[in-house]
Amino acid sequence: MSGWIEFYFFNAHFPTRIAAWLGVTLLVLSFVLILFIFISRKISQNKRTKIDRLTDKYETLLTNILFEESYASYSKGYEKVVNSITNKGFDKVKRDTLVHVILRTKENIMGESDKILTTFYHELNLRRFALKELRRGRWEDKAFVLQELGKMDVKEALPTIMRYTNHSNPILRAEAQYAAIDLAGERALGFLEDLKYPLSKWQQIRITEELEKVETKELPSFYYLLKESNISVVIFGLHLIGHFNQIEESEKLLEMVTHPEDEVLITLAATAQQLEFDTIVPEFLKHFSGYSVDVKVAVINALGSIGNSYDHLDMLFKLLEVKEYRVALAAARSIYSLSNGKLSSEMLQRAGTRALFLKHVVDERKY
Amino acid sequence: MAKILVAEDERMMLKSLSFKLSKEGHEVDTAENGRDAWELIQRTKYDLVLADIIMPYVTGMELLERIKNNPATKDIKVVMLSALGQEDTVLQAFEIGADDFMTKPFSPNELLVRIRKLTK
Repeated sequence: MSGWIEFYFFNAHFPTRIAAWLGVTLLVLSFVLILFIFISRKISQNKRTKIDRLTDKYETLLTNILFEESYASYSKGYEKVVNSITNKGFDKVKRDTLVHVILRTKENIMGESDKILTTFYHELNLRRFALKELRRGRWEDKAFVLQELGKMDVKEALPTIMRYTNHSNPILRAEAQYAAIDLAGERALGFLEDLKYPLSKWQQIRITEELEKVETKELPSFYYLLKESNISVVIFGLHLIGHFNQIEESEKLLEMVTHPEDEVLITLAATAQQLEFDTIVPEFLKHFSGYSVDVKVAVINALGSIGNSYDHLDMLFKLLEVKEYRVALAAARSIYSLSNGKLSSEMLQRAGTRALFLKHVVDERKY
Repeated sequence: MAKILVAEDERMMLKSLSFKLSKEGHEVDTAENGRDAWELIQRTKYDLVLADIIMPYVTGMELLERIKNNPATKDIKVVMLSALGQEDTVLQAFEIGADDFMTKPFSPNELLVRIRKLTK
């Protein structure tokens, strides 16, 4: 055997020796790789088992704290739980697991139980870890911590959170914005004025949802957002004006019909519809020929609900003739809507050569 | 006291609801998905089922439909739980035959009062 090894590794032709050494090296490397995979799998498996065990333990603990009289706030049982956790000290896995369980529970319950959970979180001084993590942690930990601070009502963290509302990392930025509104409601909206980055549709929906929790009369007028240079903020402002039906300063919308951005004009048309602000229609029509197809379609759609058959049907019938299919389609739908959902023979006559097109477009059987 | 089945895929909710209901003196079974819940319902006679709408395998809405369309189970009271509080979801549940509907987040105490009323 040793002679065989000696031959292939030391005495054979050079290419044979190279192949032998290469083979052995590959074999050793594969073994090391397999060992590495096995060990790292074992480590993550152990961590998962530990998290599962802790989750189970904390779920039972929280259930007791929420519903068992002997664990009621400030009872002996409760104090014992708080002391045992705080005295033992918390490693990151334990803390994160407990916070996850608390946040998940908070999503599902409200009222007295919700208050008990928040008090428990503060009694354990868990915010101390969160604030530390916010200073030093990895970005994904920071994102989680931002969520935590907002949901757990850690008001002292607001100034730090506000700094993240304009962060270059989109996830941190979004989480900070939600957390800020969680903590300060409409007063936190100041970040919109300095926002350097676009607000995604999803962010807009989430922030609107958070604002729905605020008393409507306490909401500011969102017209100030229409002057922002950040287009997504202007669009969001229009959404908010429509969503919260802020009709008081609607005259300010008239200045927007010459806005250079298509998306702003499209949202403007939708907001005017929501507010039933028909004063804007003549302003839109003044600039209609200069609009892009997308904006034209949005304006025609708005005509269908805030236009009137006396002033706008002629124009809509003319638009039925245009080559741009989407414009003609929108016109047909708006004609139908302005005719209160009935197409009289007179209407079809007015449509002329486009009568069949009009009939087909508004035929509800195909839907 | 009533025999209640809690069908909910969120473990913490499952634990806390069953704990709270047991403390009230009810006899409680649990299921972590709609399929297991339906199997239990077919084998056991429940007075009330508390079902989350979003569950794996068989959704809460499908479970409600099965319960209310089956002559053997149609008299079981069903309380639906959901984070989807939209009007159409609530209406759909009531149309299928739900006896009550609670939107998450909800107050466990309020849920208990409603259950008490239904199981009188």
